[in-house]
Amino acid sequence: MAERVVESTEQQSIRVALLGNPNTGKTTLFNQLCGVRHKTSNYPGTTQEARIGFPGSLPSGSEIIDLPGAYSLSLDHSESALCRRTLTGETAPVGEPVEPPDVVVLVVDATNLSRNMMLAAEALELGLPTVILLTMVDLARKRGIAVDSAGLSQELGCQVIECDPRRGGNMGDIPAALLTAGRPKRLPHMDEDARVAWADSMHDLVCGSDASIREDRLTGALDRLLIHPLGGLMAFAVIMTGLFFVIFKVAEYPMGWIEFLFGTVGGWLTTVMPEGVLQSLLVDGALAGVGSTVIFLPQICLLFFLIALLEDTGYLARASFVIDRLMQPFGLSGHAFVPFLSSHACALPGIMACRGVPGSRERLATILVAPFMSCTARMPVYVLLTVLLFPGRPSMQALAFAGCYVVGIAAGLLSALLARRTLLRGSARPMAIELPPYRIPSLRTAVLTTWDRGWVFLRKAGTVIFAISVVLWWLSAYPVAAPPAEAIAMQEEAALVVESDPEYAASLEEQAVRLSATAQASGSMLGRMGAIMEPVFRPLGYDRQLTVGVLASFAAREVFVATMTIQVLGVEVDDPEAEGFLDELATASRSDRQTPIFTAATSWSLLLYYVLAMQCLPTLAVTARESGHWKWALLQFAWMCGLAYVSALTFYQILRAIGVG
Amino acid sequence: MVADHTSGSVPLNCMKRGDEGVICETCLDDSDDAFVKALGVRPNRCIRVCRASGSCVIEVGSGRGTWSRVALSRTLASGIRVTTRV
Repeated sequence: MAERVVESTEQQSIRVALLGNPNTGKTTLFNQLCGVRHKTSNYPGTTQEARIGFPGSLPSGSEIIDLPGAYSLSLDHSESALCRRTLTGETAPVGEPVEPPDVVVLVVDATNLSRNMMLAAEALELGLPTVILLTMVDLARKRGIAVDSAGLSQELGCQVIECDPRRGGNMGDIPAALLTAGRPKRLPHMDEDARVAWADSMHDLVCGSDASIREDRLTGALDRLLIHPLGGLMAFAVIMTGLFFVIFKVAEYPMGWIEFLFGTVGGWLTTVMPEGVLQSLLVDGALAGVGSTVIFLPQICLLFFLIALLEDTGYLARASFVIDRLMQPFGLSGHAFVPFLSSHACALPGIMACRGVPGSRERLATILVAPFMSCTARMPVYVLLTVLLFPGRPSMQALAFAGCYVVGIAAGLLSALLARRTLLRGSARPMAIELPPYRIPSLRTAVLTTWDRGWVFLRKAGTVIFAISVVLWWLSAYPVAAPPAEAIAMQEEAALVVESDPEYAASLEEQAVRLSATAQASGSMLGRMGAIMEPVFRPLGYDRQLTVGVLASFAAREVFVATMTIQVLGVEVDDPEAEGFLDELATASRSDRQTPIFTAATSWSLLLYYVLAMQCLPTLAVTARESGHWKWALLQFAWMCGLAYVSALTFYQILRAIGVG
Repeated sequence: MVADHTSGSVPLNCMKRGDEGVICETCLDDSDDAFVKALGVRPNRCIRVCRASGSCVIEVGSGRGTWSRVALSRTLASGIRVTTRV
């Protein structure tokens, strides 16, 4: 038997690396062993993510590194290189010691032993203490494959455990095996043909060479529809429509609760805190700003939950394949599908999902264009402008709304094409992807993935948004403008009639507050910046007030509606469909008191601008991090804003030329 | 190990749904060649075509009864030659 190198003391912490092919149940196994006790890190200088878990069943200080799924250690793919370099002690996730792990856990799919043993051979050649976990043994036996794990253990000289991470079967045996793991019989370095022969011999040893294996009829039947050239596309459209319907419909309720919570806390703070700078900073700055971001959390969590379920069923690999031929002409592959899908909720997780795109140039191109997908933060602006454009015509509003999504996707794909023909020259990597058998998804895995992603979103976006909110509040609150004489006169009149006609007095008070707020909006630093920048945006049809709205949106798009209501009406309204508010906004006039702020041409111009422009600081920060350099974030910003400006300008001028107001 | 009967082989993308055969060679660039081989698409493996429409989906077997499904783009499929079974 193998030499024991990890002493069986219960006090000694160990570092374990999980290695395996994709779709072997590695992530489910990691979730079973570590649950929420894990952190997400990166490999230095790369966008490759590493999850490091702290299993309670191992001595304190022990860690499990979930390596990226890989088919081989010798491919020129980033995940393959990272697995190899981690096992040889050449690299480690940020914050981890750069040394080989104490134990390698090889996760091997028993239904596909021959191929899985190819990777195992490469790992065993390194001679590290090893434990082999055979997964999907029940499925293998159902198909008539005999599995002799004891024979494999004897042949390799390491412990082999049959386990079922989905149901938790034999999971209790793993910690003891890890603590007593020994070096297996070291395999000599083999060439590829020798490795194939060895892997086949291992297969014959463990499973026999019986060729009378039963087919997986479910996978065959479902695939006849889901990967059919036409039926597959139709099924894809139905599944994606359903996905978005669930996201937008179901998320309405928790979004309402979050809005209510923030409103209640804001109201409570207003009553318990004395009126002044601190109250305004907390309520109007921090709470309103953070609330406007956190409100999207349910949609983001739902999206990731559904994506995790779809991935676990085996469908997501099929969707990537089905969509691949539509992406190829634009220099992208089906691997860009998940990032684009995620970006429709929020560009932050969408860009992070680009880590799964193979090829650095293709990955970078996907990162650069992902924010063109219409995220949920654009929705309030779309709602406001489509309602203003087509008052009382819901079908036209819906059409214009859907058109925004189409324009965003088209701009993204065309921009990708341009990038792939110039800066990031090259064609999309031809797609080859394993289609795993269909399975019932693991709810636990989906929940843990959702938790992980949701927390990352809250931590990263929430903190940045908090800082932006405070800055925006400061820019709009200072310098404090004196109330206009008209407002003072109204307040004085209100004081005189408050007893004889309280309703009229209240109305006067309200008008005075609005006038003061409008004066503050135009006199503040943000208002002054709007006045300075107005000549830049005037060719697009925007006056000073719209310019302020656009400028404020560069921090986060969703603040546009609230900023415009303060600018125009002197009160903050977050709901773009609030009763009465739309009429007031539609008839509000510019400083000449004649021209409406929102003419048809201006509204179209604004709509196009918001579809195309990069107006999200957190997205730029994530682009810089994921691409490895700020220059890519700046390029993304310049390209998207430049395209938005030129498109809105052209469209506005054409509309004006043909007589559209 | 490359089969020596390539004269009777056809590119994978020319096969029809339901066709079966044995891969005799892969003529792809080094990176793609290594990747499809790592997926199990290598000479002497049995395949069955599940979808054929330029890009294709195949079941690739170890020759020992176990198999996996692999989707390949048209570019890759055209570089894989298969000896078909009658």
